[in-house]
Amino acid sequence: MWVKLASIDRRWIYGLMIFVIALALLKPVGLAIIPSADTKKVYDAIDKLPPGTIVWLGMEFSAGGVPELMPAIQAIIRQGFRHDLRFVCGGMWVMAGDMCDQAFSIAKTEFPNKKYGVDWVNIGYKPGNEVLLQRYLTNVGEAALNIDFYLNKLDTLPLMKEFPNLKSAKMLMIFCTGTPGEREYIKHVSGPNNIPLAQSCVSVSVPEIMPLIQAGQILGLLAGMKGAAEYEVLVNKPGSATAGMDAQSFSHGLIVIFMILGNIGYFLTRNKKA
Amino acid sequence: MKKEVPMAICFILAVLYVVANYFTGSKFITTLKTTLDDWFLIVTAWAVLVGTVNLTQIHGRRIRAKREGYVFSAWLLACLYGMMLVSILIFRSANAIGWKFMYNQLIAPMNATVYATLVFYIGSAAYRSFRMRSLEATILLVTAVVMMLGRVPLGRMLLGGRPYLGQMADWILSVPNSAGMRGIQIGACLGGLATALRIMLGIERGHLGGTGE
Amino acid sequence: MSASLTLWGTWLQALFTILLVSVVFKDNPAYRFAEHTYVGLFAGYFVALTYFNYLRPNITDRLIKKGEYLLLIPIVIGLLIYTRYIRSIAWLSRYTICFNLGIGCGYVLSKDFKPFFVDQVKATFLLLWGTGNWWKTFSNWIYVVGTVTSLVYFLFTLQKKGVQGRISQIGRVVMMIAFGAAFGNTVMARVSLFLGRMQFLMGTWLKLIKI
Repeated sequence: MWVKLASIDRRWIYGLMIFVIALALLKPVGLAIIPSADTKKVYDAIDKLPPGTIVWLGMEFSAGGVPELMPAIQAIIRQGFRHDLRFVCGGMWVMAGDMCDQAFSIAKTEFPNKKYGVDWVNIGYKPGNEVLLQRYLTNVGEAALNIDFYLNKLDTLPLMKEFPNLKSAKMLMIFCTGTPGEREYIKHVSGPNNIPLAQSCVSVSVPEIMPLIQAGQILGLLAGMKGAAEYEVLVNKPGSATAGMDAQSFSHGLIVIFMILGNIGYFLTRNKKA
Repeated sequence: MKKEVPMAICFILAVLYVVANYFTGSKFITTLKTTLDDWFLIVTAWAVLVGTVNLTQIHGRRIRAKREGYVFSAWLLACLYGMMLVSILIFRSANAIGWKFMYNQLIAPMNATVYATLVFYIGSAAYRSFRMRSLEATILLVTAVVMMLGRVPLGRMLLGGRPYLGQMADWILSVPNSAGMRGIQIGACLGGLATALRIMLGIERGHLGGTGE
Repeated sequence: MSASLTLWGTWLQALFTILLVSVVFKDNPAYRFAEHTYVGLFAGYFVALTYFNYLRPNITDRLIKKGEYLLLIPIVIGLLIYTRYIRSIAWLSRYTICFNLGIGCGYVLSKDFKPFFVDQVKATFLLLWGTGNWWKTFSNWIYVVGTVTSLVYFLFTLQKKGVQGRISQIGRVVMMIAFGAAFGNTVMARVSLFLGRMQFLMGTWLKLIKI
């Protein structure tokens, strides 16, 4: 029996994981989500920006990052639009434009007075990785070939008249799942030009970003789905991140139980062998 | 000269960029660097078909030799060229309904699902390989458990509303983890600098291989 | 998008999600069909997007309308990468590679040192006494000792014996804590990804939950 504990068929593990997640989504318990200090730092930094300030949103992720990052982006857009901030978004990743399009889909229903080209612009993806950022620092219009994601001419958009280059952003808010990501922004944009940089990243990147936060190179971090859920609580608009935290919690609990069972089985079979 | 000229170009460009970073007063160097940055974006963009050519080569060979699964390879190439040509000739921009349909209903969800399947392998790996075989393995295991429970609301619930697991997880992340990661990243930075120097000086030539003499 | 198109899209999305997840139980032809569809569509999407957003405006606006014929140089350098596939002239692709690598190396050598070495080392100089808070002092000690010992671990030119061996051992322990934290966060990330798909299947598709 102890041997079985150390060698449960993996399909049982998979099935149980699906079952626990489905159950937690169907019957949420409503575990309390308390915003952490790092999340509050980002919230306060955006809150302090005067109305009309332009914020750069760097969409440096692919569809794999949507569950963790999209709720954070939409929460920040809500907070920003309530404070009359303006956004210019783009990125080095190929899905940057589509991600921005998806993020600002809430503007039509929740902020009908906000206009594209006046309150936000989606430049989309342009090739070049970090060299693109370097070009954006000199002239966004030239680097982007004067077209946005929807093929509008950038020089016809009122917001772009006040955003000739990336240095015009008073704050950088980036959303990353890997490379290119925060390091490219730190070395090309925020570091040399002293522009505050805040980030939302997937949980897997959090440990390697901590040294950058400790060094003050990143102002604050929204860590994965947890950070997104906390931000939704702060802007008072619970969404998919908040809804997912119960399921996230219980699936972690299940994995921990399996780890404990595996170790119990290991020790008991090891002792038996001895 | 087939290797020497490209290596010389690599050396000159690298030196130019280093000089341009430190001698920002020279208008000529700054303009030259900006032009080269622009050219870099164009070169990268025009190399976009490399992935397409590789896929066509690999799957084309499979189809010609009628190897196992060649039908799937034919389907892949049909999807590849179909998506490319329909987007360029019919959709013509990312604003088109057809483009939005393909992206929102197929490409993005499939991209997300491919990564999502990793959860099963992670769970299975955690169960099978995380054994307390030594002190270091135990430290790794305990840290992982504290992290998994402390970073979600369950940790607070398990301790009757007390935030200790969360505080422990946050401390682990911001102190010992950050210290260890910093050591690794400083090492990685120095390694990157050394590699860049080796490539620039032509000591490292692996990137020149695979293309004949 | 019309309601019927959205409905079709939702069902297609659900079908492909289930097909792709089916591989964890057993490799099967349905999964391979979905996988090949994904790879083909994504590769085509990438090319089309680059064409819309960069290649076409480069040719129509800059080359033809504005007459910036100097751009032919980078265009030719970019196209040279495709000579890799013709054995007799494959060596020409080195120009593209070396052009990109030269600029890449230039940026690494000029931009990486300060933020990822100097600033990181500076940030490790923490107060080891007199902070006014014993927990902060203790944490600072752990931080400094942890950073130094994990760096010592990577000194492979010295044998791990004696004092250096013991310091490396502490470094290993610190890195085990870092890897444990990394694993815990990796689990969190992967669960979140799958959660997103479950929210779609149960919410948008089956309408069992409200998103």
